[in-house]
Amino acid sequence: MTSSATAASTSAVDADERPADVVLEAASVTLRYGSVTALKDVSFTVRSGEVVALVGPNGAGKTSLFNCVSGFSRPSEGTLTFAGLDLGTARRHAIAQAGVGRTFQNLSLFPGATVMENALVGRHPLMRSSIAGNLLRWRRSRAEDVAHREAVADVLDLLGLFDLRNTEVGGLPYGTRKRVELARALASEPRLLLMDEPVAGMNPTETAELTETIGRVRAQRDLAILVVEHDMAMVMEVADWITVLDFGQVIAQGRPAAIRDSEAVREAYLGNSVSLDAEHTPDHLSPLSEEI
Amino acid sequence: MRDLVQLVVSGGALGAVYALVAVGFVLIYKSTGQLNFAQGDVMAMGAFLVYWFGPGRFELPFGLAVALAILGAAVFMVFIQWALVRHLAAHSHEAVLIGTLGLGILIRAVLTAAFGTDKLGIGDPWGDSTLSVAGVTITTSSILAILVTGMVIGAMAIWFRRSRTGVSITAMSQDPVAASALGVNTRLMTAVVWATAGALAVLAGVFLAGYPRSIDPHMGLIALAAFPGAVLGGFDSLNGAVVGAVSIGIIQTVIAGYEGPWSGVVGHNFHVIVPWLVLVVVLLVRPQGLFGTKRVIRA
Amino acid sequence: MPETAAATPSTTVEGDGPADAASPAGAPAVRRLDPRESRAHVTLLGTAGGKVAALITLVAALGVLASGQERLLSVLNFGLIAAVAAIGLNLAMGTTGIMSLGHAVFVGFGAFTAAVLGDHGVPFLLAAVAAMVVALLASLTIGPLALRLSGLYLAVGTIGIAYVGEHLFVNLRSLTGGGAGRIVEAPSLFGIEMSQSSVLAGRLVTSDMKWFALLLVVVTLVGVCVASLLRLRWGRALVAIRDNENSAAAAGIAVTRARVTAFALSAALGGLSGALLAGYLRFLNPESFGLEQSIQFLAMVVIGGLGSVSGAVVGAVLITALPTILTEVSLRLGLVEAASGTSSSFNTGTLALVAYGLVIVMVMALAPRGIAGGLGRLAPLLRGRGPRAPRTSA
Repeated sequence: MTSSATAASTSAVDADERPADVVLEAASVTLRYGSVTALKDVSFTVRSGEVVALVGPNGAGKTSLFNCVSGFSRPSEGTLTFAGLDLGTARRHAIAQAGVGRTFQNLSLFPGATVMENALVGRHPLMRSSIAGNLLRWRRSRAEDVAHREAVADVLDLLGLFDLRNTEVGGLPYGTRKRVELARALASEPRLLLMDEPVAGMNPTETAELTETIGRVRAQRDLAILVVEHDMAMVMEVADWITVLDFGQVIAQGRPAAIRDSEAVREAYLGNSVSLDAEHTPDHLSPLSEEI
Repeated sequence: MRDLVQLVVSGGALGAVYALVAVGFVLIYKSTGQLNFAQGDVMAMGAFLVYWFGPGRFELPFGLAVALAILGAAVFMVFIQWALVRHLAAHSHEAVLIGTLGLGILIRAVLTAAFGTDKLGIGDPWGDSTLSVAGVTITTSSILAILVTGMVIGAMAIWFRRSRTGVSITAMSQDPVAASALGVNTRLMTAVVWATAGALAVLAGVFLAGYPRSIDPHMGLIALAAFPGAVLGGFDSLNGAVVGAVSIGIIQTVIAGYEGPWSGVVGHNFHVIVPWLVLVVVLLVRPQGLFGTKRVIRA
Repeated sequence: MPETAAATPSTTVEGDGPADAASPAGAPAVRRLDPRESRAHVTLLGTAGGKVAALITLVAALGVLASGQERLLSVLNFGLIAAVAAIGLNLAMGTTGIMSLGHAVFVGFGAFTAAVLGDHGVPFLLAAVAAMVVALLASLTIGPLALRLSGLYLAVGTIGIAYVGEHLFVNLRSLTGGGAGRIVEAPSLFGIEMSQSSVLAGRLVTSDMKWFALLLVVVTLVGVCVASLLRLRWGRALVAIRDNENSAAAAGIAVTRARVTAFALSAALGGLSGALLAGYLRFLNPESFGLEQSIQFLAMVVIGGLGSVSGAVVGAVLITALPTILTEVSLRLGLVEAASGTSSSFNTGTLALVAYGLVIVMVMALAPRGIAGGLGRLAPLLRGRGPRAPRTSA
């Protein structure tokens, strides 16, 4: 099953099999920084319960798109909607409050705090106590804290971090810290989880662990995941749907199998249509030629 | 009209002093990302060093005293960068800010303890002499301040562009890692930058102590007004620092000249807070200043 | 949110040996968090060390009060008044990361508000509350604008606040007395004349003793409130803003709004401190609420440890007592006479300045987390392995 080389194309059969509930919708999103066009006419959707992967060569616009979805950049044209909320005009914290959780490529943890405390920050949108309540030690504030710690402990447990909950994040290994970052994003019980290159910089063991963790998260939580990633092996394993970007445009969309076989994708990554075999392919692309 | 010209020239002289402090500060900030909040107090220390080498203790000729003071200040700056600021910078920006602020207090206190609060003359040869230019009386000290500052800054501009050291420093300020990879000895360049800032501070101190003022340990606080100057010019622009600082000096002095009748409305010594009001306006309207780039200014 | 009782077997898995979190996957046992652990994080004085420290402080305070030693009480009173402001500055700087070099201005707003209201016979308690409100409002005029700026620009901007504030105070002569300063009416609190001695149960209770008791209560209350904040939702949010703004925003925290609020709270506490100062000292000089005092508050917070409430109190008392301590020490050692060679400026005032410039530099260079940080690092060593106490101390 091949997709066409240019515009965002989806196989009609595949599109029907996707869940009906649209969580995130990008419609002709264009983003310009001065004379640079980072994104051009990008359209795709993320459905509830799906894992959608955003792939493409370096500079393809993946992080720009992510920034638009989480409110760190504003699209110049087009619309981005999340559960009815216009992401182009909403403030960053409002987007998070609406149910979008995000991890950052360069970890953004709070260094002096423990794992539990880092994850608890993510719980902020679900908590209701006011500053006054916190200052005056009202019962509701304290009880709320205790209750939410328990909920966050569940998230930590899901990610295998329970034993480390009272450890300062500063001294933890990179892979573990990435999981803490994920815990923080999950603590807010998001409907849409944005993961920015979750396995970047990880060795194969850590990658396998995180991939498996993502699988577990997906199985046990009701959410949609949009992941930007370079590691095609990982993407092939977890994604239900793949959107391929190149030079800011969508050049292919579809099920992993379809993308794997796509001419357009190969061209984008390699610049020619030489067949992909183990010799010529950089490590992270090799799975494209493997039999699955 | 005559008064206005006098005020503008005095203001220019004060602005020249501010410019020397601002350039030192911005130079360090641009090249190394570090904030030396003790810059003003180093200026005061510089002035006291000139006094000490001169009329205070060793009674050396003025030029020699200044040269030795410059040497002393340069060594001092390199020392504190190596011994203190380097470690602070490894911790956080706030640590550098607070640490150098504390250093400034320390310098000020030591100067007070060592030299007291009597009015001391720095021993400059031009004293209170004045010149008459086109019917306007101007102090020699002001003229020299403007001229020398202009020459020094002009020389620095050429130095940055032409000399190997200067270009290395420019490279370092734009991208320290790349510069290092290209063979720039960043540690040496950092020392050069701090030493230069020290030298500029001494010059600033010499001119600030000129007639009608004198040296006093709290001189550093006067130099605080250089910061709004740097912000007005644009914090990552050396040219901007000069333009901004001189502007502040002129505006401040002119207002000081005319504020008398208005003191009922805006208060006495309104001119003291003028630089800070300018700062507020700049930050509200155009935080990158006149020549700065729109970097991370707004949270 | 109802507190969930532990119906399921609660396993606290602390100190279970090296972190085995790496293994796992699909570990069938679901771990549940013991509510006691959660409550321990939320409670103040949760650790044994904390309880002991509090007890010692209480006993020492009562001892001092009973002794009636004037000089000691006086110094401590000034220290406690400064502590209220220091706790406030710590909230802005230590917790939220707002570098404020203009804090003394808000203390000034509070002080003069209390003084002016005192002129009109307003009861002290009410005047103190009004002082807090005025200081808070003052912070809101500049806060929302200034707090959008980052680090360096904000710091320089607050220097501006210090200068403009001092200028304002010096020139509003009718309210502040201008260069000569002004006196403040004797405050009365719930009918008690705070500036005079009274007889209670046959014993003489001096003004300083009354103030000491009052200030102990005030500092404790303020400290408890702020410490509570730090352990709960909003305290975490403020620390998050300090450590990583983007992350905080992505976690649903309205960054600028929270910073403005923290700044306003800090100003309010400064105002309270000012009111207390006005009532205690009964004389205010508009020139003492500018940059120099702001830097003094900074020194207090830095020594105590950025982010620690008890650290701010300790720092405040230490810095306030420093000139007195130095006088005592140098008199005993005969230092001052010996060194006054060049001028009369080598006195304990100058020495105090040298000392706290030195202290700031040394603390930042060697122990950036201040006294509280140093103790924090000691604690796990003393206690042995086990879950760490919450990072923000009482």
